[in-house]
Amino acid sequence: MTTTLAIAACAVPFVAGDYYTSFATEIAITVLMLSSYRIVVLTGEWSFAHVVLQGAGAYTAAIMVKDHGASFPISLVAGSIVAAAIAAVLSMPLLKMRGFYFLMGTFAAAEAIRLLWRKFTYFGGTRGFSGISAPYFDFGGVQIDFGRSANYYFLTLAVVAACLVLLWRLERSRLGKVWKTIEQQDVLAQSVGIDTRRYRRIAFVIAAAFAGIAGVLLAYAFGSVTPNRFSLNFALYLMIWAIVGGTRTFFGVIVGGIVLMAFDESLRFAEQLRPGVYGVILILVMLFWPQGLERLIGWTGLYGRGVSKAAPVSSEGGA
Amino acid sequence: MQFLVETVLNSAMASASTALVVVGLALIFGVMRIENFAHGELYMVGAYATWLFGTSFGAGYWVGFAAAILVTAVLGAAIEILLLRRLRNNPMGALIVTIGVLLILQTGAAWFFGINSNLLVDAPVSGVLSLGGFNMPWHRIVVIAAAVLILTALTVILRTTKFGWALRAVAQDKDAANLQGISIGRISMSAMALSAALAGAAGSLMAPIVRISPFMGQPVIITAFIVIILGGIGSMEGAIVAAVIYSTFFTFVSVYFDTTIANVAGLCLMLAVLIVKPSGLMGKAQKV
Amino acid sequence: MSRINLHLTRRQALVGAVATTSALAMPSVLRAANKIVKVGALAPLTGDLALWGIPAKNGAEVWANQVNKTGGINVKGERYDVQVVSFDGAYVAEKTLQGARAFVDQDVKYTMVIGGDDWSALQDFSNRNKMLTSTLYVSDLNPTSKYLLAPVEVHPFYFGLGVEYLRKVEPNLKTAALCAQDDITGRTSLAYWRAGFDAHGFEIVSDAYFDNSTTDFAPIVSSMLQAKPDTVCIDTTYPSVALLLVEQLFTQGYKGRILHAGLELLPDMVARTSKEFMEGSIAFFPRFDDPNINASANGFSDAAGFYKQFEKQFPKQWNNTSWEFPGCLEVWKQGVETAGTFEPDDLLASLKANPPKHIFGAARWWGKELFGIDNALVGNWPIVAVKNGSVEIVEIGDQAAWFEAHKAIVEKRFREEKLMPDQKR
Repeated sequence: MTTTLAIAACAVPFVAGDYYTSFATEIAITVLMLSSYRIVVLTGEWSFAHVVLQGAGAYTAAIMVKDHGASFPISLVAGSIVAAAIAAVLSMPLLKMRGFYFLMGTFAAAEAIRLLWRKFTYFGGTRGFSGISAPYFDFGGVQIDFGRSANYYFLTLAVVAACLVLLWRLERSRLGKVWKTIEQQDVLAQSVGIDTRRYRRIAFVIAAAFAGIAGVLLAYAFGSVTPNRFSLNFALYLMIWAIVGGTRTFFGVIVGGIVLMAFDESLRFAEQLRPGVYGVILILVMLFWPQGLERLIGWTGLYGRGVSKAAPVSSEGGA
Repeated sequence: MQFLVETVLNSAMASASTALVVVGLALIFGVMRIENFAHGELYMVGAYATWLFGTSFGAGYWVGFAAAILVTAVLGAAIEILLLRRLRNNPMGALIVTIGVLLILQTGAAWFFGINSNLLVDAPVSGVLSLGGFNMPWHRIVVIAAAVLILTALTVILRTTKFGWALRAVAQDKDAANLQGISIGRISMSAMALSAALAGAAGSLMAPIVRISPFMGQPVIITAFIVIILGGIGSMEGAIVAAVIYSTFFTFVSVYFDTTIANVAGLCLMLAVLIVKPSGLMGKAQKV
Repeated sequence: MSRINLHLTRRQALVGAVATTSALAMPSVLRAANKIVKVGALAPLTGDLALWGIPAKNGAEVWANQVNKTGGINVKGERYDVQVVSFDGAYVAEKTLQGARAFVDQDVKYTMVIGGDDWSALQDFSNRNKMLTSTLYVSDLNPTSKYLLAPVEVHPFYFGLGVEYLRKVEPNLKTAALCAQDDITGRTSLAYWRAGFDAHGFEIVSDAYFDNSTTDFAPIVSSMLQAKPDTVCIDTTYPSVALLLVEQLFTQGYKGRILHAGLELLPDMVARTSKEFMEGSIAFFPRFDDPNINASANGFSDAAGFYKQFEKQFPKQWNNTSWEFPGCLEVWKQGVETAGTFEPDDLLASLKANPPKHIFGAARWWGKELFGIDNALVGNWPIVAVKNGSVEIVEIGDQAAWFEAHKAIVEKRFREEKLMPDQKR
């Protein structure tokens, strides 16, 4: 499965044009976003801040490149650190909340940050940054211009693959097991002495670090960073993809992202009606495969140990 | 002084329309534990229905208002029966379904009424109240009065009727209510219809004041979620109090600074309240 | 009901779109023998800014049909039919760039964008791929935007003429209040208006942006009127927002002139206020159903006929972008026919050497001083004023001349808003 996916991914630039190659780049970045988002979800919370944390990475990359002429690896690290740092600060008030309060709390914090980007000219105002030059590597005579979409696609693929391996191992580590325990048995976890809030905070910050990397990749991919790219709409779509894919397994969200993005793209012929058709599909998927696509393919049996019997954990608050 | 009075009245109107929207949202959360993202679109449908029946068919504003309530109530009931009922134990699934409904309603409105159409609804009471240099369109006062009336009626219904009792029982404990012989399905459907009708009424009341567009529900739903969090999810009293606090705060910041700052300040206000009281002003405390 | 009619045309459009999409995958030799040249409308087709993108795209299609009916484009004796392809950029720069990639894959020869927020990601790509593009925002131009033209509207450069005219007819006005939404459109507009007010001796007494999500404008208007202005400028706000602002100005007792670039919804404004209230308001776009439109818009082939055809095909969808994308195409067509090629470098050189006609007559290439590149086609521009409930052209002025006379002030006001090319992030 993984091998097929990898081969298919590598073949894209050889069979598709410029457009589909950069679309594939966007998918790869989204896959990283979803897989890192899943870490937060593992602890039983849904967040609206993930996309803005990606934005933090993207803005960091833009500032590093435009003001300090930083190279790609340096912006990559910087973007990741800044996103994680912002997440660490935000997590202090936000993780006091649970469920829907947490969801809306993350929205408020994220939207406030995004409005500040729009407001201050240091961040380029409503127009953001543009002209972020593509990485250009010169390894002793071998030059690679990542401004070409195929080259940048492979760079993205490499970074995303490395991150996915890390995320995979993280989930199987002790930390990952604690997260899953918290999600399923919050009270029990507390009673055996696990500081659940601390572990949820760790998850939030680690997820943000990867979102920051995805942001840096995005900034270079488009050569620009604009505040509109990190609006609530994009956060909503991230959540939709994760839920429709299914968050029980590592591959569920990835499949959800790839399938739904490809679907959205193939609906372009519907022009103005596209969002409506998309809405119909969302409803049908949720009515007939409420556990997400992963269940449909039957992966939960293969990968997900300790699958819960019922629905994904509710996001409700006040009860 | 005159400026201050005007701003206070504008805040009152913003509070009134926000309260109508938010109470519906709180109601549906209380009964069904669902965050209805399509609530703003029901508000939008209310405004369009008012135009279609009141203005386009020439039946007059109040007929349009009644039609808006009817259309949104039926739509709400249909959403519950056809979609949400099947996802009763899957809140995230239900949330996605409401997003699906949101996209369909937006696209449908753009398709049927056109993206660039400028539909105008005339206020039922035209003219301006002028008192010594101070000007307030009568319709703004109508909105405030209508909202107070509707919310009072709602409170009476919930406090005194059998339906209201059943609804509160379901909101408190579904299983116990079921044991008492209350039909969860019927109550959910009625609650959804009532909630949608409240959004529709708000959309209808605001139709002469705001710009009618397929996307007019978006800022409304964002405000509504902020307010509902401020008040404490599921608490209708909290929702009304929070609507007044937030709308007044927002209106004053936007006249003394600007609306972008008001947006940021509003979000910070909500965060500040949540930091002090993680379950909102009047929400029940919850386990962490 | 006319509804059914509308559905049919839309369905046809849908089928056409399917055909275009599937043509994307197929080599173009499969299609009929007629030579075809593709132009692209890269604009928001979904979301709330579709109210610009869809009329613009539809306008381009109506224009293409008219041109094809009369023999298409003549390039060195060969006839080409114009085919409009479109892509939903959603007014998000990153999505717009995706559209540009799709256009390059489809061999689109000329791309039209709305400009403003959606241009920023395109520039490097456009230079790399020599993607000739037109924008409606002259402020998108900068020293390195080599393949970007502002061939029709040089928003906001006509505003100076508006203040000059206002000063001429109203010598006693002293104060002005301004507001607009907080985006690049609002900011460039107000920056230029401020320069205009500075240049002609107005004092700005209230000046504020409001957020795009604002729904109730009463608080904004009351804080504007608190400063007791003689003149109110609500520019450039979206048509429906302008209507709500005008209505609020009326109900809150303002008496004076209103300035707005388009006054697109003037009939509704009059219905909601009164003829007397709107009298004398100043705007910059003539009506296309004006009996004299063909005379004033003489750089546009049969403006009146185009308007009629548009209204027939897309009833009630007309706005200014409906003729601005076709206006961009008119300029391009002149250039292509003169140069005898679609090749971007030669075409650009030829366009520069023989400035084409602008929609309102003769024009020249300009922009070096403010934007570092002479890629804006600047000609005269009309000032219109409301008379008895509808707009009439009251004067035609020279935008570049006004700028020449007041460039220091414009630059100062642009710098304040960080709009100068060297200030771009």
